[in-house]
Amino acid sequence: MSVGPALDTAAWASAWRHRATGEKVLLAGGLLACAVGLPAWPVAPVVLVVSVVLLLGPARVPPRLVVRAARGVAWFLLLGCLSLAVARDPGPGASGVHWHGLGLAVTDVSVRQAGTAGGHAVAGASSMLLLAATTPMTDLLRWAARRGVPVTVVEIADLTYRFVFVLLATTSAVHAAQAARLGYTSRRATLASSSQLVASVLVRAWERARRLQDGLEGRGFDGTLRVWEPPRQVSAGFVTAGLALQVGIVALGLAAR
Amino acid sequence: MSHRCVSLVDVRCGYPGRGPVLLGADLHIPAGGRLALLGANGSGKSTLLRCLSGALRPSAGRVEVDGVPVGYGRRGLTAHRQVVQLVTQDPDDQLFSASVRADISFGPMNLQVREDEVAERVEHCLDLLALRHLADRPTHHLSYGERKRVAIAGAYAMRPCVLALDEPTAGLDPQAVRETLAALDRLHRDRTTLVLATHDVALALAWADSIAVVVDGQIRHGDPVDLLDDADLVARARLERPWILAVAERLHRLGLLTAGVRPRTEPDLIAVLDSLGPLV
Repeated sequence: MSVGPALDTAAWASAWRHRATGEKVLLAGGLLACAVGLPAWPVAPVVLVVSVVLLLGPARVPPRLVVRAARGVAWFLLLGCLSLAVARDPGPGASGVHWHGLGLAVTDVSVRQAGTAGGHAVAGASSMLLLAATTPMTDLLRWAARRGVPVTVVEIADLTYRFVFVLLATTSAVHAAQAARLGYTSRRATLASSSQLVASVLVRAWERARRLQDGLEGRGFDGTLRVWEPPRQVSAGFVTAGLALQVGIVALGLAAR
Repeated sequence: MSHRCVSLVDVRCGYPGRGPVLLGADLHIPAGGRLALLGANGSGKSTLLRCLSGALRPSAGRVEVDGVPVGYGRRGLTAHRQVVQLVTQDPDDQLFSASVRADISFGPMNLQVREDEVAERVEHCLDLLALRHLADRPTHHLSYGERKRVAIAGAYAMRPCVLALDEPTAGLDPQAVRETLAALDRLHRDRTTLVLATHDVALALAWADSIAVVVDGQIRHGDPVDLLDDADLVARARLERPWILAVAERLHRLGLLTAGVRPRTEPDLIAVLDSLGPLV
């Protein structure tokens, strides 16, 4: 299973699934703000540890999933940090490694900048992973709609989320059928099969959208996807604990300045 | 829900490029009953169901509710959809939300029902369709049979008088078929008329109070045993005579079954055989 659907599975199965979405947004958003707005040291490692502990502890997200989700992000951030660490050669006066012929250098300053940015990014990503692995997309979209995000945007996102899985299944099935008939045994065959796969999935998506439109109209669809979900109580204890945690991190960050 | 009389009167309907599929079809849906719709592939079963639900407008003839023709304007269709709901063969043609509860609630919300009543209808449907344990699972994590039951729940939450289902047991394993039929029986006891399109003649014989066979663009409606014992009709409709009827006929010829005894299910037949006592 790829990371995307695995995160989705974790969100639906999480022990925090039935918590009010606002609580989790407040917690993860607060941690993100701390990660980005406060000094990278010592705040970034603290936010990272807090996020991971909450994920593996009370939220009960499988450790294997946390590692898989973090791996992709980690590679992305590493590449970004590497590009920050390599700067234009400032001249022989700066300490570090210089490639005079290329006009590039890795200096103490550039390494510090890369480390700071990387720290902020890793901590911020961990707080967002906390939200993503505990909150199904539908819950986030409903919450966003109640907070004023245009209904059309929310509905498109909701439908896209639902049908990504349907189309993934279709694509997988068509690909398997092609592969079973040796459709990917050469470069030429792969190119032909891939283009046919894309065309086939596009046509099926179009046809499915038309049939869905019929199905929705049959249940009185008038242009708005109105649904009901049971209300969730906001836990004062959870909110208080989350805010206290963030206040503590802010205090730590301010003391470090 | 009160029972309403829904009828098709001289309906002609088809598709561009294919010509008419229904050629002056007449059908009166018995209120409160269970009607099975049989016919060959392409005979017009799905077309008939779509005409019944208002999704398709006949090119001639009419669909009536209590003798009043269905209006195809916005108001007319809104009213009609509270009388007849259609569950399509592919559940993914109906399930638009990743949340089971949200999808079931969609229909009642469109009826401008109060939220507390929407909640009550959703919970009622979850119980009737045995979906309570799936209520918090996303629809893309459900099996095909489970998605079918959610689709049925979504249509039933509109509280229709008539629930039309296009091959609800197609593609299901035997246990899932039993679960689906048990769920439909609960809906029927909840005062809903059921119309079920199927290729399964044994199912139609065992389950339905009456059957309608779509053949040559027309409809023959009647007793399941009478119609499925009609060899000419069965052949023209590309159906198959249920094995129970063949065995019952043999038993009649052997004098082991009295006239008028017409077993329709395996348990019926076994009970008849048991009543014969030892034969040797």
